[in-house]
Amino acid sequence: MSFYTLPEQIKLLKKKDISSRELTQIYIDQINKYNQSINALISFDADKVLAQADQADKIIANNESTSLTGIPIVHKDNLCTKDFMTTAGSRILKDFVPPYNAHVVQQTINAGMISIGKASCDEFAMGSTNETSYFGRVLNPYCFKHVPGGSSGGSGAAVAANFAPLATGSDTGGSVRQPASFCNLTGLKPTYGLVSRFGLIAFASSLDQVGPMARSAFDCAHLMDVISGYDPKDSTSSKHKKISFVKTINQMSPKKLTIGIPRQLDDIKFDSSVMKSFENTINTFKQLGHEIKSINLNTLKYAVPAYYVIAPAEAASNLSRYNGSLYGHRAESNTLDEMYKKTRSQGFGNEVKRRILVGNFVLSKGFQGQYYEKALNVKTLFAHEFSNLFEDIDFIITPTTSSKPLTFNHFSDPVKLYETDALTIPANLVGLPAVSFQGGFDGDLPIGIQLIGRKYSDPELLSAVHHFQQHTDFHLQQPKMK
Amino acid sequence: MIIYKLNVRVLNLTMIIDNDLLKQLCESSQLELDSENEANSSSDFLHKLESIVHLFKILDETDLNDSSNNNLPSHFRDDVVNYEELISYLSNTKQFNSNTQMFEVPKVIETE
Repeated sequence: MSFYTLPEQIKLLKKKDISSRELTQIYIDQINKYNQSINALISFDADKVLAQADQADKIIANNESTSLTGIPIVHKDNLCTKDFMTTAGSRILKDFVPPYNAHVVQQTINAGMISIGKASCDEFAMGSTNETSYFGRVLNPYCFKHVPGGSSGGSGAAVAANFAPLATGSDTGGSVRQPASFCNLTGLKPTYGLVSRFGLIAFASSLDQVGPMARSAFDCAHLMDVISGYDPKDSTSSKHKKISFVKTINQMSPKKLTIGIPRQLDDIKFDSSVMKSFENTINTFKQLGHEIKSINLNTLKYAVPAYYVIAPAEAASNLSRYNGSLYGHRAESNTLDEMYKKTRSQGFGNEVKRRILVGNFVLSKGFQGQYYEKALNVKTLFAHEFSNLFEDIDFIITPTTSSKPLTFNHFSDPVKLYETDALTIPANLVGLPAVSFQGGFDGDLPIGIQLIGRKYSDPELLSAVHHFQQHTDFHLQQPKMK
Repeated sequence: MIIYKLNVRVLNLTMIIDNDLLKQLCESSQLELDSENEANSSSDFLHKLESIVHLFKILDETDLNDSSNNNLPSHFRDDVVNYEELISYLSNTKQFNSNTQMFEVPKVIETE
């Protein structure tokens, strides 16, 4: 039953061929069977989950349901949830239960969805492997010796392992797309502002964006219909006209697209299997009638250094609030200042500490012009270059990452790991929508392909991927859980 | 005691994160590195920090005079990028402002 597609589940619930309680119980059984080994969920309470399912069944019985009423969802643990602990994968927020729901979470509750659990993530979403979580590493359901990606690795592993058909993630430099790639999922980083950040524990506020993770573009479209839209509680929320993603996919007949391949991909060292899947994907798009052309993305090589100035700078500011006086971990000490330092020193992991130090370094008086402002200028160049490119093309296509899913502790040098985000970072720097979708396998290991679009082309992006998925079956493959 | 130096060349500037600067950074970050054996000069923590800071050198090599850089307007093709001029150009270009709605960046916090 868990392996029915989301549209099939929606249909069964609507026809009352299955109750939400029965559906949810199947997922609970799967969680009980595999979560101990995979470690995808940090918080899970079966009784609370079933109470939500019973409530959903009442709504369905009264014919007041939405399309996703009664459908379980996993939320990344950096989204505030009133009824579940919210830790952001950090010791400093261990046992913290927020007094309110994030906007995205509330929207799913309003739609009658079942919050089945909270997914592990890299600490404060800082990482690409889910190895920096205080709550232990998460295993990739496709091969337990490999990482699920990060920072939304718990969300990716949870959907891949059939703990839920849908999950939320957050994407600051690729944190939805990269784990989607590693876990054989479709993951969308929406246009900046399209989904409210209210209640999302901030990492780098100008880059953070909440997005859906699911088995297919069509499933992502269903969740986008629930979570996207203007929210006055988020000052960066977009007032762009709300468009139904599902209707767009259903109504849009496939049109000929012009898709650009950056020549600068030649400068990146890819796993051979990644490049093979990329070439196969391009051939499929050609066969579907789309035009493929080479483009220049000259700023690509500056993406990683610019990102690792801007993101830590914002993180250093955002994480200054965690000092033991408001919430979370609090160290014992004799003075207030000492308490702050001890709390932060004990509460933050090493990756977070490094980024705070780097952030304060680049913002230091006398140096901010040399580092932070220069990085912002690079960001501006990116915006300019993308703006020019999208006058001639519809989408840009790249592999999502340069490698197949990594093994644990793959890189001792963090910069080597950072460089694997080179292809996902540009969309965050410019606020563009980008989607990672299933492009093939290297043995059991999934490989993802990325499409980047112009601002607010999110429904068209998912439509293009949906069209691709009508002619391929990578998204239907399931992990063997070994 | 922190005994560690980071040599960082950014924007033709050789910058050294020495004991004092690292201490200042820890102070402004409200962190105590030496409380968790992180201040050891051979520690993994500091080597990784050094690696990250070296990443910034790539920004120093931002050469927008690249011959393949045909999409960029001439303002970006000077031998040495004048960032004040660049910012001025960008802020005065109506087309740019209408094409790309840049987001407000957070206020910079100054630390000494």
